Amino acid sequence: MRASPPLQRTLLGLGMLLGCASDPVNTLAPGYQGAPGLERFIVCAPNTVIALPAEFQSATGPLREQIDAYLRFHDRKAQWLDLLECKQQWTQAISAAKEHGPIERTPAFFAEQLDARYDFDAIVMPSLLVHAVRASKGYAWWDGVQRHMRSVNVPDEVSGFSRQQLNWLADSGPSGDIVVTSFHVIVFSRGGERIFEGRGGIDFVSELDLSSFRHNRAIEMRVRDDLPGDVDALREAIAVGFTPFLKPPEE
Amino acid sequence: MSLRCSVLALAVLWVGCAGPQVRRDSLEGWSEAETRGVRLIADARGEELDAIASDLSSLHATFTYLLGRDITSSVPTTIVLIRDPERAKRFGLRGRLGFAWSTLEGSFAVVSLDRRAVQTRITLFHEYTHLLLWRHRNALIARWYTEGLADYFSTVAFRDGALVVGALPADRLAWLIQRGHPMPLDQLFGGDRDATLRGRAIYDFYSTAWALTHYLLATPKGRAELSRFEKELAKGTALDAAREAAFGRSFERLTQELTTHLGYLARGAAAESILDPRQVRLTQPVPAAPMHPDAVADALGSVALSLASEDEGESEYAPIARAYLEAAVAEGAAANAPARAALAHVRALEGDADGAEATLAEALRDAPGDFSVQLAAGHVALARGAADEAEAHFRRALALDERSAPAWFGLGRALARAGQADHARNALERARSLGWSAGLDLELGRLHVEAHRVSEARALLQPLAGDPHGGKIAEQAAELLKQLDATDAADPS
Repeated sequence: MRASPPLQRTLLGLGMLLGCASDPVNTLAPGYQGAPGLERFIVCAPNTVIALPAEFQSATGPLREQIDAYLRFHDRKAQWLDLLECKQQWTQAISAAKEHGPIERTPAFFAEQLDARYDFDAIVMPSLLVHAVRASKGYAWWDGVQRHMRSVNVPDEVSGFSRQQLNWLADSGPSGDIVVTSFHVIVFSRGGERIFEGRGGIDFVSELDLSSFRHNRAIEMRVRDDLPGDVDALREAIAVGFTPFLKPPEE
Repeated sequence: MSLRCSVLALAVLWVGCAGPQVRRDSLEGWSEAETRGVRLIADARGEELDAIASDLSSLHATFTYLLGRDITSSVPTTIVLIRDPERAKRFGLRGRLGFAWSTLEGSFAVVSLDRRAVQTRITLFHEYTHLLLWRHRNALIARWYTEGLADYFSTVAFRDGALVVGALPADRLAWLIQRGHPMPLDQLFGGDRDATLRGRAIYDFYSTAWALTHYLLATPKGRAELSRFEKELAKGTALDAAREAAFGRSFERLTQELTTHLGYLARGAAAESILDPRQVRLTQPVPAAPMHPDAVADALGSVALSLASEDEGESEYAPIARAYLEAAVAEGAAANAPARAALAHVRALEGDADGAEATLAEALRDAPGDFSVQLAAGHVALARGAADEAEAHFRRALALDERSAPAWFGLGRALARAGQADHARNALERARSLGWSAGLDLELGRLHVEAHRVSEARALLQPLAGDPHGGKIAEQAAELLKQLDATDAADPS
């Protein structure tokens, strides 16, 4: 029997699990602003080493598409590795690191293994993070972006409510710890040195659904269909997440 | 539709019965598909059901690959996917997204058709894993084992060029945060209903079952230990002996290992298994086809009848089965004798002996050589206490299909009611050689109790009585064991 868990409790739990809200403290090794001389990127399948809840597995597709587009926008060549190969290479690198010294050297072995098979200047390891941030009336700020929880199925008219009141309801939102998604990326040099790590907020996992408001005056939070977020939000997250390694597009 | 059928349809629509009414428009827009011997019936258009069937086919292929062999079913498997929330509640989906059950006549699952395809898939995979595990069983499967595996396989997905097995379900992750530690394992394996199913314990029970499975399946050694442990318990080995044989270490030690594993998961480590999808041999399901309303009503009525039959006695599903089967007959299945025989069966379950006899007479007149009609006729006769007549119908059914477990089971019950205990036991043993159900073990156990065959009775009844999720059957088994204990106390010799 598969029980239906209270959705919000589940999502709150997830948020507490996978990190806390933070400002985008992207870290860049000296000399790499704008990624000078780095033209050819090996890009690993999303979430090779960071867990992704089962419900979000299909969300890596849109993330992958937009990362690819963003690298092309910057005239970089992206060569993607699938999850199977990335995982195999990473596991092999962990074993090699354990055998030869500290496990922290795993990226160096990983880079060395890839270097034997591919031509590249840097390795990109992207991930989708699911975590919680503090929201106030449907607004939240995290990882360099500000978002407002969207409302769907807003009725045109409801007995006893003016148009203005309905708009106000649609624009209102929950306060407290709310689950969101972020883009996370680590870039390693050809030798396996970590040269960049960044994050960019994507969007809320849930949206406000007013489809039953006309009948029972209820506003429900439901998981959105377009995980991890709409395309514009995803593009912004990737741009923020790669800054200042790659220069963000001008407004 | 003939005038007679129209009148019957109106009777259902406007006059109504004691049970829920079935609106004709609620029977429209359904599709069915078939994959790997599983019939999928959904309140959905073809394209949506095609995707679901394809998902199910990929899970089956994954299971086959991991197990190294295909698990075929000897009985038909039907899975109903329901979108309408009210109908879903009527079919038992209150506070749950799906459930599965297996009888001698077939395997079934009811799954909520969610707005989000991924949610539907996870629920479908969970329930289908139960059905796969129940195939070819000859004993009760421990609940922690089947639930743990069902959760584990519920998240199978193809992603970024890999087959991902064992990704963490969001609700289990939430449990990790809220509780942070597993239920003590001796309680998981041996706890009674109060210890595993009351209050927060139920959440801990299911989550710990998943966590343990996730931990042990991660390594070949763990997989071997899990399999050995389950087999030891299934053959009746005492808990401590089974633990020692399978794990060779204490539950405390195992709990510590599990807690460490949970710590890794809580820190976001990707602990799922990544497999090569080329190793999995996928097959394309038969494309979905639209269903005629009478076929929808017949299918839903049959599923509800299976639930009602499982309840043995008054069941909330009987009126639902009757409403759908009446709609099926009215909608055009009048010429379908099995549908009318099924309707007669449900009427008998509801205590409507006259209605059952009248409907059955029509079915028997039109199709006396139909197996399912004879089987239903046996059930109808049993329901009104006509053991000899029931025996005759079950024997006719067996003449048509000598390897039918439900017909042997029915014959055994009829013979038991007629006081022919030895013949009844032989028939039930024959049924048990062809299939397994908890009801069958209960019936056989009862005969052993009556004959005071203590060890045989205990072997069958103790697993049933010890299942904290066993419902009425567990209660009846416990009652029979009490009788046995009382007899033993009175006459220790």
